[in-house]
Formats: sequence, C-alpha cells, structure tokens
Amino acid sequence: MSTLLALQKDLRQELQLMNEFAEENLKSYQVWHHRLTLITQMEPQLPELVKEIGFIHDSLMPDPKNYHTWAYLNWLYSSFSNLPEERGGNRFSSQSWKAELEWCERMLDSDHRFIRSPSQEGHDWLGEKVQLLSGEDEAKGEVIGRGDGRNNSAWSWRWYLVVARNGAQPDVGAELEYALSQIRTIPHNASAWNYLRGIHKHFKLPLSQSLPAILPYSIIPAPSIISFIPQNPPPVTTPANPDTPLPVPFAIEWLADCKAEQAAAAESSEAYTDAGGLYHELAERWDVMRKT
Amino acid sequence: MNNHRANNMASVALGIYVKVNGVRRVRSRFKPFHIWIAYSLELVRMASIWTQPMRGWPTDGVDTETSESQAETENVLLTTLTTQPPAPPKLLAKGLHASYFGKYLLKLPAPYASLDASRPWLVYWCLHGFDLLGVALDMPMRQRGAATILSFQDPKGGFAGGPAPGHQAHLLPTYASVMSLAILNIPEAWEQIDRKGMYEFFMQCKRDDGSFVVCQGGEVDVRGIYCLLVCATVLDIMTPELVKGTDKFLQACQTYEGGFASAAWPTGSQDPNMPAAAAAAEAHGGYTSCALFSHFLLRPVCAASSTEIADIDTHALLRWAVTQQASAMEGGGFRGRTNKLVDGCYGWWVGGLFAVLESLVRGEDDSEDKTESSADGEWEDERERGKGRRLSFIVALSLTLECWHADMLFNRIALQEYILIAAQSSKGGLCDKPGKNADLYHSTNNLSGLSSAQHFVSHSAKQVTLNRESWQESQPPRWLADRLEASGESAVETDKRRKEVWANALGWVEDAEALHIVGGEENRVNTTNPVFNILMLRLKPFVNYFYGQK
Repeated sequence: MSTLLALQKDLRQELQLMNEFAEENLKSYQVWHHRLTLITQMEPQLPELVKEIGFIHDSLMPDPKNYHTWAYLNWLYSSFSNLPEERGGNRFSSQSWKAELEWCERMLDSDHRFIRSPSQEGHDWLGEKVQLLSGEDEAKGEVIGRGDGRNNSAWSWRWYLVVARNGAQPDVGAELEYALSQIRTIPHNASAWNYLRGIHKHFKLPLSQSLPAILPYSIIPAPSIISFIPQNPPPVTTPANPDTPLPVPFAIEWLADCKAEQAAAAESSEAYTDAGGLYHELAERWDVMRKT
Repeated sequence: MNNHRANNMASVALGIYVKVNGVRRVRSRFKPFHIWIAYSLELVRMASIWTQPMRGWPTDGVDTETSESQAETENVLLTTLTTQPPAPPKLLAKGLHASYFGKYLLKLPAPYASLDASRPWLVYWCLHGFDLLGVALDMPMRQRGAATILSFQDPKGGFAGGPAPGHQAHLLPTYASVMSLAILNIPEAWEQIDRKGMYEFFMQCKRDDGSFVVCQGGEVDVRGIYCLLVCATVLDIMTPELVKGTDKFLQACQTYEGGFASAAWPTGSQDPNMPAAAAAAEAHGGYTSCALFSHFLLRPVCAASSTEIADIDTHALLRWAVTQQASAMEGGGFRGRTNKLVDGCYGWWVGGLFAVLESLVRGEDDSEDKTESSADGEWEDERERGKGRRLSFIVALSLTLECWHADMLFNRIALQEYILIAAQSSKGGLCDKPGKNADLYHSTNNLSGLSSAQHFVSHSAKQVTLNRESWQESQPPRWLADRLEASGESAVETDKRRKEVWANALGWVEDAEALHIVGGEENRVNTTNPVFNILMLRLKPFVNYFYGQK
C-alpha cells in the first residue's frame, strides 16, 4: 500500500481494480478502508467523487443494510464536505446534497424498484443508469434493488443528510410529516417510530405535537383486560388497512409518554396513574417481552 | 396477581414518587420509560417465551426485503420452537460444546484460513468458552497457550493477529491476547507482556479527536477503543494523556436512536449549537456495547481528576437496548440493529450491556440525590427517618428489585431460552440461529450472553469503597512514572488515579440469591465479568498482579 501511495498515478487504477474485489467482499472492513485510503490520497474532485458514490450506491443494491458500506458513504460525504481550504475545501454543492437525499428517499420508498436497463453501462450516481422505470422499460430492465421503508441504515443516513451534517437546514415540520407518512404506510415500522422520536427529542418538541396523527394506532380493544392473557388477544384492525392489527405497540408507548409528559407539566398524580395504566397495558398485552 | 392489587401497587409507586420528591423535582427528573419498566417488574415477573403470544411481526400489507427476511426467520424459529416442549427446558450440551472448543483449539478446519490474522481471537474464544463451561486446562496446555499468544507480541509493542513478521500490532488482537493470558493464569507469562511497548503502540494509534485507529493506517472505530481501554485498565497503563478526548468521541457516536455507531466524523461546524462530530452510521449492538463499556472504563480516570466526563444519554440507550430483544416468535434473543434479524451473538453484545447500563443509571440517580439533598433539609429529615429515600423511578425500580428478588432490565428467561433452544448446534458449538453453522465467535458470545442472563452481577459502590480502603501503596512502572511526572502529574495524583481505576475494575459483585438458571443447575455456566468478558475469578489476580496489590 505504501508503495502505491508513493506512485500517485496508480491510485486510480488500483481503485478500479478494487471494484471487483469489493463486490465480492462487501462485508470486509479492509475493502472499504482500502478504498478510503486510496480516495483520501487521490484528492478527488467532484466528478471522481460522483463515480465513487455511484459505486457505493450500486454496492448497496444487493446488500442494502451493509454497515461498512453505509459508514463509508458517510465518511466520504463528511470528509469531502469539510476539507480545509488549502486542500480545496468543500467538494459538494447544494445540488449534490439534494440528489443524495432523493436517492435516500428512493431507498426508503417501499414501492420503488431500482432498474438497470441492458443498454446502460457504467455508474452514474445522478440516475441515468439506476433509475425508476416503468412499463416497457421495466420489462426490459433488470431489477437490481428495491426500496424498503424498514431499512434502518437508510433512515440513519437520512438523519445525517437532514439533521446532523454541517450546513443542514432541517425543515422540522417536513421531517415530522415524512416520518408520519412512513408510519401511515407501515404502522409497525420500528425505524420510522424511532426517527420520529429522534426528531422530537433533538428539536425539543413535545411528543403531544404528533399525538393526533398517532391516536388512530393506539386504539385498545374494549373491554380493557388488566390481567395477563397468555392467548392471543383478538386483533382489531383499522378499516383503512385491514393488514394492520391494532393497537400498534409503538403508538401505545407514545400515548403513555405523552400522558407522562402532560402529567409532569400539570404536576398531577392522577395523570401519572393514567400513564402507568397505559404502560401496564403495554407490558401485559401488547409488548409482553418488555415486561421486565 | 389480581387486578386490584396491581392497580394499587401502581398507584403506590407513583404516589410515593410524587409525595417524596415533590412536584419541583418530578418535572426535571421524570423519565417516562422508567415507569414502564417499574410497572412491569412490579406487576408480573418476567415471562418465558412459552407464556407469551406467538405472533409474527405484522407486515401491514407492505412486503419489503426486511419483512420477507423477518418472516423467513420467524418460520425457521417457529419450526424449531414447535419441536421443543416448554418443559423440561432444553439442556445445555456442555460436553458437546467443550469438545467443539477442544477440537478447534488444537486444529482448525479449512474455512478458518480466512481468520489467519485473528489467531489470538481463536485462542481467546476457546479459552473463555472452556472457562464458561467450567473446563480446566492442565499446565502443559496452559503453557502452550501462553507461548502461542506471546509469539503474537509485536517486537515494538502490542499484539498482532499472528506472529511477526507479516502481521502488525492491532488493538483487537491485543485485547484477545491480553485476555487469553489472564485466563491462562501464568504469572511468568504475564511478566513477558511488554507494557511500555504496548503503551507506545497505543499512543501511536491515538488521534487528535480522542479516537484511535486500530493499527497503523487502519480504521477508527469503537471496537478498538474498547480493546485499548480494557488493556490499559488491567495492565495499569491507563493515563490521562492516553484517553484525552476519548469520552467526547464516544459521546458523538451515540445516535438519535439511543444506541451507538461504529465511529463519529467531524462535522466541521463552527456553530456552538451543532455537535462537532456526528455518528458515522446507525446504532449497532456490538458498537453500542463497546462504546458503553469504554465510557464506563473512562469514568474512574475522570473521577480521579475531578474532570466531568462527556455524558451519554443513558435513558435513550436503555430504551434502544430493551427494544432490541426480539419477540417470543423469534425465540426471545436479541437483534443488533432496528429491523434486523435476531442473532445469538447479540445475547452478549446487547444482553451483556444491561449490567453496566443499570449501574450507570443507578449511579446517576445517586449523584443527583446527593446534589439536591444537600440543599433540601426536608429531604434530609425524611432520609433520617429511613423511609424517604429519593425515589426516582430507577431508584424505585431498585427498591422493587430488592423486594421482589433482584431481576434484570431485560427478559433474562427469554434470552436463556433462545440460546438453549435456537442457538445450540446438535454437533456441538453454538450459532447465530437455527440453520446456521456453529463457529467459535458465536459459540463464545452465546455462552457469555447465557452467563449474563443467569448471573446477576452489579457494580457495587460498597465494593469499590472497600477496594479503595484496602489499596496498598504501589508504584507504576518506572518508565511510566517518569512520563507522568514529565507531563506534570504529581505522584499523589498518579496514586489516586491508579487506585480509582483499580478499585472500580474490581468493583463487580454477584448477587448469588438472584441466580436464575433456565433448565436448572446443570445448565449453569460460570460468571463472566460484564465489562472485560473474562470470568470474575480470572480478572482479580491478573489486575492485582499489575497494580502490585494482593
């Protein structure tokens, strides 16, 4: 490696050679760290970074939760958006960030299919190669990946892009609505609930702000039974989505936390009892594993 | 428990909290999640998977790769569960597993060639596996093990994944090597650990942001930090210069979910309201465990110098950790990430972190008590009467535990059931889940997880105090004393710090009455230390040797 680094001209060739090796060894720390070392030494400008990002995106198609690949993507953006001026400064434009967020949204769109058409070659991060096609085009192309609203790695990437990165200007209302829309699509999606909680906590928003949207998922079938029931409780479903049994445990937890939040604000022991009753319901019936 | 009693108990718990603390404190200290846990513990003891509804996770009518792999896993596990009667619980096949470790300690099959750079780990997994199962090695075998491990020591310090030349020192095999030597329990071998070289290797790995690369030119991540801090702690080479900034780096690794990521990268932000670094990826069980243990190991160093350690959000971490325990349909094991699949190894990485987490949460509460009580005469009066202990919910939880026999913050019964039913290979060794092959990594981590679910181990303030009182003045290695003196640390400060690190390292105690073994005594494994992951009985002589204590 040190010899390679000394011969700057070979770095790009080495990176190219590494592509196939990486594709066969996606779960290897060394593969991604080797790329990191090469890219660092190359001092790439945006076109080369675009290529590399395209390679990363493609690598995530067969293995969309690969931890090392996501961490490398994060490093790439973090590193090349924070370079000191003497090394050329920030490489990414607002358009770059926008495009990346759009790609991330496709990763989280459960209806999305990433299609590669036979005529397309090479990697193009901006979507000329990997894009959503339909009808005839789709029939000709190869599905190389699917969006997945439950992909927690992609949710974490969204957090970085929207909230954590330097220069992010989050539209908090839009983020709440994004998470809630994902919950409406997949009400039992732990990733979406965690993201919603994260937004509330980070921006110090009371949980009650999202409560109206959550209440429909917290319906507890009557009569409420306190004692432990080993059998399956009768599922209740919302007419809008017959595949969603109610209540959704995350919604009960949210409601209970809201009650507790309100109780603390109102200094009311009665409200605490309400909150406690909901936690009790949760532990006894809807999320029994966490009784302890 | 009947409904009436349950409701009464709930009201009493809440009533005590409000009455004793007063409304002013309720607002500032209340943590809703605690109620959930406190209620649960009071109302019903933890439930076996056999008493829980066997419901798959709903797909909500939207099929994705996650839901499909989840459904496949649930099917596999349900098939396994239906072949197992609830009683009697399945036996831990100790003999088979011991044979598995024995076979692999002496000769590895071809697929292990890819782990040629992880040889100390292969030794550690076998030795710790033997220890957990209660299998003793004879002296010739122990000496052979020590010689093998010492052959991995880099001439310049630290241990490599294999013998030099050809392998370079690396933080991860350094941990595996040092822990293996502790298990082998041969002081003559301990003497051959090059602490000076190791310290210099550690300092070469250090970066300005407080993190460490795992080797020269290697990656930064919290696994390496954990391995380094364990070695620095047990070998008496934990110094302020070594760990400067590390607490802040760890803090930045905590994600919005509450768990920790592998690393954190600088954001470059000049905005004081923005963090200087951000988590590099999503929360993950292995990294969370390493980050939490690292934070824990740093605390005594900070305490000794009255330096405030960079906080982590223990309450968010607690929520994240308990939500990683999978449903009864998945056997009650742990997953390592949100929306990922259950895997036996996380019985240790996530199941094993609760002992540390509980001690931190409890400790925070105690320190808040001290701060507030000094300004609150009324509270002091209550305290004197012996019935007004400050009851935040975690303290209420602690009291509950004492009253109802100590229990854990996760379902220890379900985790044991997962390991016994789903993770044992019929050919010996343990695995990720049914259908997967056993390997050394999963075998040892499953057994460590089983140990952490059977044995109730806690970090005892009383034991730490006793340790401090029994401290005998001793000197750090000469080279280190000179270095510390040059850095401006006085001999008194050095002694205080070393004492604090040592006293805390040995502050873990087991509550024998809280032992709970699913399947009975014959399934018992030995007690692993929650932070170091070697047996409690192995840690003490090893640490004492390097600190000059008896």
